[in-house]
Amino acid sequence: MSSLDRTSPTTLMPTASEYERLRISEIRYRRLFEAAQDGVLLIDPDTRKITDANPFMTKLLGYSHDQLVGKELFEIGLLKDEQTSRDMFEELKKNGELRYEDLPLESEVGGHQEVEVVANVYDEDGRSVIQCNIRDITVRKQAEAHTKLLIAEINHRARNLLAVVQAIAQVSSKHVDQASFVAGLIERIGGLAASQDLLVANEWRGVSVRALVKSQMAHYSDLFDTRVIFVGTDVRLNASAAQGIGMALHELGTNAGKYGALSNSDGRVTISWTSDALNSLFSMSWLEQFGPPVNPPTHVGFGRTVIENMVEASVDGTTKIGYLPSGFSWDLQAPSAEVLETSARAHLRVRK
Amino acid sequence: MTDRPLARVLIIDDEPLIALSLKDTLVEAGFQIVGVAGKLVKALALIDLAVFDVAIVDANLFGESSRPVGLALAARQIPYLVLSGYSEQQQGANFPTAARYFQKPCDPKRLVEALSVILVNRLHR
Repeated sequence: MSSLDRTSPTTLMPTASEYERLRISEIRYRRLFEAAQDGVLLIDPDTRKITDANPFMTKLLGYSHDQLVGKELFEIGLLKDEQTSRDMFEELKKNGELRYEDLPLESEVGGHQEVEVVANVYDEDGRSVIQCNIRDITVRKQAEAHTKLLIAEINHRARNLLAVVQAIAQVSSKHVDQASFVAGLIERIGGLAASQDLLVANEWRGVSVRALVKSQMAHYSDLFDTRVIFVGTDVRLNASAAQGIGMALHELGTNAGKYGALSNSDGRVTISWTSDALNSLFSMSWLEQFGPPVNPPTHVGFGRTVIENMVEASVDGTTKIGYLPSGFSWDLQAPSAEVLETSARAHLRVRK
Repeated sequence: MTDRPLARVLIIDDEPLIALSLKDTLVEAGFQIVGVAGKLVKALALIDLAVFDVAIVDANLFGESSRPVGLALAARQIPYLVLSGYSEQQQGANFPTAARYFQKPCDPKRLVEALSVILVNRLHR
């Protein structure tokens, strides 16, 4: 029962209290229409012309209220042509409602937006009215597109990493027995995983060299600062340098534990690095002392390949290996531009 | 067999270990590696200077598209195959002149077969 049904039979006018109730109802529902943060259009189903539009519609399209009223949907860029408009009204007549999940919208000001349209037909005191709700989903669409790009990029990186694992398996399988091949492969995959964690934790915005050294030496953490010594101010390495230097450190650490300064009870490894701003040169050195007597290896194994050729290629640098009686040493020098994270590289390189 | 000249291959990949494993695979299969480039500038320089029959090209080198590499190879009429972590759908359009497209990781045997087919086709062209 609406208040209108109980109007006075003699005057057909609402009583004072009913008038007040109507006034409050009018304010409430008009505010709803005016304050909505979605566009709302009322349309005459017979003429297909807009009869009313809320203020948000103007914000969405750039047309004033007066410009909107009397127009058809295709005239305000909401539907692409008159035929689409006829189809839409046919569907509305048949089903009483319709929903367009994403509709490109060309606004009066020339902007491009993505909108979602929900329309339904209802009865307004004997007349059919179409209500059209239009929601701007541009931001949501952009987020969806970005997510798609990220997933594609993650897949690319995952596949590259698998290809690196495949390459490690292939190259390290030469000249070793099966047991040491498997043990070595497992350790190397562990080393790659540790570097990967650091890269992901920093969203590929580079890795702290100190964190990288510590993570590749984590196996010896109880010797940190006593027998495994770090010297250097922290700098950030780019993703490719982090992977290459990380793998080299892993091989150096494994070797020191098996044959070098970390294989006895009082040897020491000093890992130091400097970033020389004047000459734009990054250097890192690995120095073993007080270990067992040093014997140069008889053949070039996978570890040697990694600490020389591989790391050199990954940072465009040069390495020097020393088998001094006092201990094994390894030096790396590379152009800072190849090693350090710079602002130009400091974001996920996703093409838009 | 022994006096047959070896087919010469140029490897372009920014991942040194992958380049190394490719080199191993191809040398074992009887190819000669004329050079390895990880950076775009070096790749283009090698394409200019080196003499080779076929190239393996990574689609992206240290964040740069290697599309110019495909163009340079096509200009010299040297066949190449693309080997990338990206799918052909993602990157294929940048390499319209590629003889084949492989996504990493890829079985080395398939690469060797594809290279042989490319070279045979070239001989009979």
